Amino acid sequence: MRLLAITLWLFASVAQAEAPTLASVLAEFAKVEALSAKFHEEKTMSLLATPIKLDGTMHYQKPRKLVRHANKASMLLDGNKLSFGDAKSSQSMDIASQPALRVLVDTYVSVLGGDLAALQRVATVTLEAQGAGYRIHVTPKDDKVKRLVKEMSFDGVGAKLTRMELLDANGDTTVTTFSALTLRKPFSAAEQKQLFRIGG
Amino acid sequence: MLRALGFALFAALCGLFVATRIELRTPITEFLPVGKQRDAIELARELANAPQARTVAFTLQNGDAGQFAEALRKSGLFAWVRGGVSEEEERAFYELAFPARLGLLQIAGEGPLSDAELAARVASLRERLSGPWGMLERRFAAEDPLGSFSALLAAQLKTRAQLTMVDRQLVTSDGQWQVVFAATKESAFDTAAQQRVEQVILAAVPKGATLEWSGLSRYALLGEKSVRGDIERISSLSVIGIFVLYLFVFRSLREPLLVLLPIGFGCLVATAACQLVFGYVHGLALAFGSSIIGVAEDFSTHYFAHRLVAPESESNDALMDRLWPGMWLGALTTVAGISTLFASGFRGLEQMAMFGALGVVAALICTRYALPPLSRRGVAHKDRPALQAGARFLDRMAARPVLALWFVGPSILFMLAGAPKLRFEDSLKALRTTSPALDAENARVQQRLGLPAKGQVVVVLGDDDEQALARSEQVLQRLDGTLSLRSVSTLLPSLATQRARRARVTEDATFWPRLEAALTQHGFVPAAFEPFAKALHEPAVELTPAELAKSPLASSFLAPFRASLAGQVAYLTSVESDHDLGPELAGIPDAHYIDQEALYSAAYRDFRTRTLWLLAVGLVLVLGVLLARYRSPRTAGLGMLPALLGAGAAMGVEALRGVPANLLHVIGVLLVLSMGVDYGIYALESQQHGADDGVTTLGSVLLAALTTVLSFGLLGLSDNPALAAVGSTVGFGLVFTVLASPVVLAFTRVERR
Repeated sequence: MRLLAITLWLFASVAQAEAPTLASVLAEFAKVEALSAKFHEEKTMSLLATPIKLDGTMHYQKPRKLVRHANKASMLLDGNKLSFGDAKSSQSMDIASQPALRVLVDTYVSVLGGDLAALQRVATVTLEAQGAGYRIHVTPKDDKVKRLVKEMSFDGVGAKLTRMELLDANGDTTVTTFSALTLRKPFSAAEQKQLFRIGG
Repeated sequence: MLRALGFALFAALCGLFVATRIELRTPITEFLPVGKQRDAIELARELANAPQARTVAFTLQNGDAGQFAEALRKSGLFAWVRGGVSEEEERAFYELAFPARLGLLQIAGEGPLSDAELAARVASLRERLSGPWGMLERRFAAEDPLGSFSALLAAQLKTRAQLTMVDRQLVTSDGQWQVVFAATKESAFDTAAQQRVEQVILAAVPKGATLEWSGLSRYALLGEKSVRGDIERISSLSVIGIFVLYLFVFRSLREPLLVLLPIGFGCLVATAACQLVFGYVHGLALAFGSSIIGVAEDFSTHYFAHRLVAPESESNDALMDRLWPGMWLGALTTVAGISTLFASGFRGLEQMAMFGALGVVAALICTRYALPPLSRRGVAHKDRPALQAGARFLDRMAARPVLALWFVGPSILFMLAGAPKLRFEDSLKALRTTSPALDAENARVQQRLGLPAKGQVVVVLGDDDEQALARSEQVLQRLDGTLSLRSVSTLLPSLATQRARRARVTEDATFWPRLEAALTQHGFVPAAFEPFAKALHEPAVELTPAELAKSPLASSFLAPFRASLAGQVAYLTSVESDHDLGPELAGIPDAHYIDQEALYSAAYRDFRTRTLWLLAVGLVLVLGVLLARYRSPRTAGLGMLPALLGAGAAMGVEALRGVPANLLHVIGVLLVLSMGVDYGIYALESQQHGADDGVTTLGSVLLAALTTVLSFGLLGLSDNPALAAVGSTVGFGLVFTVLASPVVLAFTRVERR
């Protein structure tokens, strides 16, 4: 009986030590210098009977470089400059002048960069353990942002994201699942030039 | 003395008028042809003064373009300044265009939209929702499933050519330069206003920033500065030169001072007359006209040279009477030559003609009536040995005509050598002051902004906006696919078109059911598009030029396209084409394809050809006058010989120098002929009064030509190609004319014997 109690205590201790916390997960993210992944996105809208599906690739490099390429179109974040477009035309904006957009972008980048303090400045953040992984719930604090986005959630295991969900204020959802995610060393200058561009 | 006082009083009045009223300008538009009909040339002329020609494009590096634009706005010198799209403009665009979206729908053909068209539009909506703009598209989709508003946004993006937007600021595609467009309130050719504009621009450049900019006004200012500088330089240097030369020849201050009288009087009268008739004095007319009046100095030179050798018993008035036939005949041929410019069809040249002709006449009258009472008498000295030597030399040449080859040979050689190399270049550039640095900067800015290098445009005219917009649409349909096409019609259709497009959707009972089917087929929920279904039954909202003009969108949507030309409403479609688009516009009423470079080149070519014909006619007339006076074809021919040789040799020299001949060279030839014939006439007239008089005339011609070459030669050094062309032609031409003059004297001596 005593042996059983010791065993249970040991198991409980191990389980308690291995359960991910918000701080531990974001600390894992903070170690990531750069990553590449394929993504599959499904947009569900009240306008649509069937979701819009989109496949593409994404690349991230600390601290604030992120690019998504899909369907010949690109979205590029470089510092505070956010650009959209394709090989023919593009448009850029400084997100510092767009508070609502900035919060959305900062949320995403803060998760990838493991910056808990930055994340908590703009959103209420909680973590829910899911088996070996977790789900981070991010609820914007700003009312303007809330008019666009109700909640964002990030699923993953360790420093590897597996799924992201964006719930719009109008009920539309965008679910992005990641595959072939590779954590890697920083991109070389040539790789950056090749990958982090519009129409790339 | 009373006559001299009268001249002084009249000159003082003219001087007072000029000093208080003179308005010096250098609009290049005055050198564009004038058309009596409302044709392409007239439109091109008006376009050069239209608001579109006042647009300036700025590119800024390492500085805050917003701050720069704000400084320009605050100056009050600009009609509009635009460096990007403000929130206010975005809102205005949405508020004006979105309610009118059914009429702004871009659809080809007529009648109800086909099922295929509907399916394509719905598929496109799905694609846009999945794109980077999906979130934006989602906001409009339920009310605009046909994508009318999205197409307008895309068209708006297309008008930015290769520019992108960073934080609402236009920047070049490489992100290196921020871009600001502006339009000045005053004409690009109002150099006084443009000088103030330039000062404001330079003061507005943020510290440490680099500004490169492009605008027609920069060339206007450059031209003005260059012409003004030339006028100051040429007038002062030529006056000094003439003064020194006279001092050397006459060894007295009186003649050099008196010779300035007719020149000054001629300039004053001509300037006052031009100001009175034209309302301003063109810089080129002043520079060119002053040089022509410098020719009038020949009259006084002729008089003073003869005074030196005339018998002391001969009074000043008697001497003037003796010389007067040659003088008025010479002035008559000069004025006749200059007057051909009145038929040019160029307002600038008309002013030059008026300036020159009036100035020469005024100078002649001044010489005739003011000089004799003021000049010395009884101080004549005859350099007898020199005169005798000159007479002997002329006799020798008369006896051995081969000697004449030394005097006419060089002219003939230059003519023959230059003739094969002579080529004409008819272009507006022939009149424009160029600056390699400015050209390079202009080219860099144009390339950065992706603007067409040539000024090709289609202008449609209409009695009102509606008619002009309808014609602009026809132009767009015909030329769709042409390079760099920018038309107002992609954003603003006529009301008739808006109504027709709306009717294709709202008056088709099958439209909504068929759209529902297409939506279902492409995975949409038709019920979610109820707002659009409801809009189909709402009253029509239309987009009009008047509404746009009142809105913050006026500078970006209307200003580049709309103008008031030929008393009508005009819409401009800019294009880039390597061929004449005129035939493709056949049948569209009042649609004019204007390729400014090609048009002006053709006009200058026509005028050059016409002027050459006028020259030929003028020469025949002069020959007729000389025949009537001397009653000998040989004498008349000899009288014209120096002029013909001088003009021909001058063109030969220009060809050998590799300078392409242009309209202004032809005008230079006209002047050489006018003055050269004067010299011929003086030579012929002098032979009526004996050998000494002939040699004296040779001296006076030499002195007169030297002073003219001095002033025109300096003109030849001008940075302004127009002034340089005239200056070098006249300068070289007169050298050869003077060289040939002894031949006239020698051979007329033979004839007299």
